Amino acid sequence: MTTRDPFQALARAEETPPLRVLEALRADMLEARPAPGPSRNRRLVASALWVFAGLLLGSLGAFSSQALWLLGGGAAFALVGAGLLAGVVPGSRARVGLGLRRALLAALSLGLFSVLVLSATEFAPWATAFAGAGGRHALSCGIHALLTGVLGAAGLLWIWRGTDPFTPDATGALFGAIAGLLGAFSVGLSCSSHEGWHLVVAHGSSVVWLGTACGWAGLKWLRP
Amino acid sequence: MVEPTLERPAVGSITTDASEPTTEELMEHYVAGNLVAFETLYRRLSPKLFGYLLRLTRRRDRAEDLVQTTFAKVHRARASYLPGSPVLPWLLAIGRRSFFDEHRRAKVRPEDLSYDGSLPEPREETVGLGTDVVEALERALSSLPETYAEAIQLTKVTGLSVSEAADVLGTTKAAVKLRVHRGYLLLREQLEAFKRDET
Repeated sequence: MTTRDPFQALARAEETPPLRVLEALRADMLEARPAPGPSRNRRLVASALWVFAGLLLGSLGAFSSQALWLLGGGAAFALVGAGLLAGVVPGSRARVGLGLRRALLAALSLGLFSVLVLSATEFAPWATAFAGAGGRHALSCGIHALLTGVLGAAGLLWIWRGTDPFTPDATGALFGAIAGLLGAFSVGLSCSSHEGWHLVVAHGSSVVWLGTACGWAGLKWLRP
Repeated sequence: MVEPTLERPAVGSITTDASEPTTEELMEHYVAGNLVAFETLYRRLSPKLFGYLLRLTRRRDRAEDLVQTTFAKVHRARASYLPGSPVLPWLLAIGRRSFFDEHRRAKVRPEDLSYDGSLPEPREETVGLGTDVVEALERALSSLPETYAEAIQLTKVTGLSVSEAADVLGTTKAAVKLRVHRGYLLLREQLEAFKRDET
């Protein structure tokens, strides 16, 4: 045995792939030379604009009565969302470890539900909370939050497609949670209900649904 | 056998000479459109990628195809490269995902079909140890559970830090350390059997 560390001997035994691989790459890839995709900064700006536009679109019904809230809140939401993405979405580097990313997801969800619970004035009995007109109202609010969130999530997934080989599921889930927050915020502007179950289920659950769905979608769309 | 240590310096800047550009500098030149930089980068990183994929697939032809697929994906995703970030973990993560995609599509075990996809190919012999320690280590690694073998391959053979290996494997540093540790225990058992046989 000539080496003290056999792992290093294994490493030294690694060989270059046959020349035909490089030639095929030259022929198929480099000669075609597709234009590189948008840069990270462009994607961040596009994400912020998309979130802002999604919030405006999702809150059209409330625009006349809460225009200032909508514009100010939308701008803040877009900036915070872009900041989160800048810090977390990896590109060629896993900027934030998986554990921290999971913690961030949990913090976003818990934060939203805490705000919703604290802003509730009452909790009706579960059996009656979604009966009759209350149920129909909850359904329309849930659909509103979900559709706005789906719009936001689809845009974010499209903007960042093919950029995350490390943890596309966690990144997708984060997009979903941000989009779910967008949906909850937008429906909150146009709904006057302060009943606790209505807020938690109809307004807030889009975070959970979209976080889960986008975790799956991330595996498909976010990998290079 | 030297007792392995888990933590190593990051290998982001692979160079063979102080005057040569680092891998990251080459990547930045390549992103800017310099194709000569791409070829230098390819020659520098492809052996590590090929070695890693060869261990995953256990087939040269599939590993070669995956090297090509991986670099093609890097080419498409090059605009998302963050200047200064280590290139090798990024490349290996893309290669690993490409392997799983291809494996899922084929819906066959990698060693079940021959090159033309029709005839059964003999399984690689993993029972018993070779006459040389390096060969024995190779065989012992092949017989480990995939998660352990992959963690050891990335940290000890490819030379990534624990943190970089965790990024490639999509898990935490603690999980990588645990996998490497458990893998070592199994490897040690097998290599001690080899030592006994040798003496």
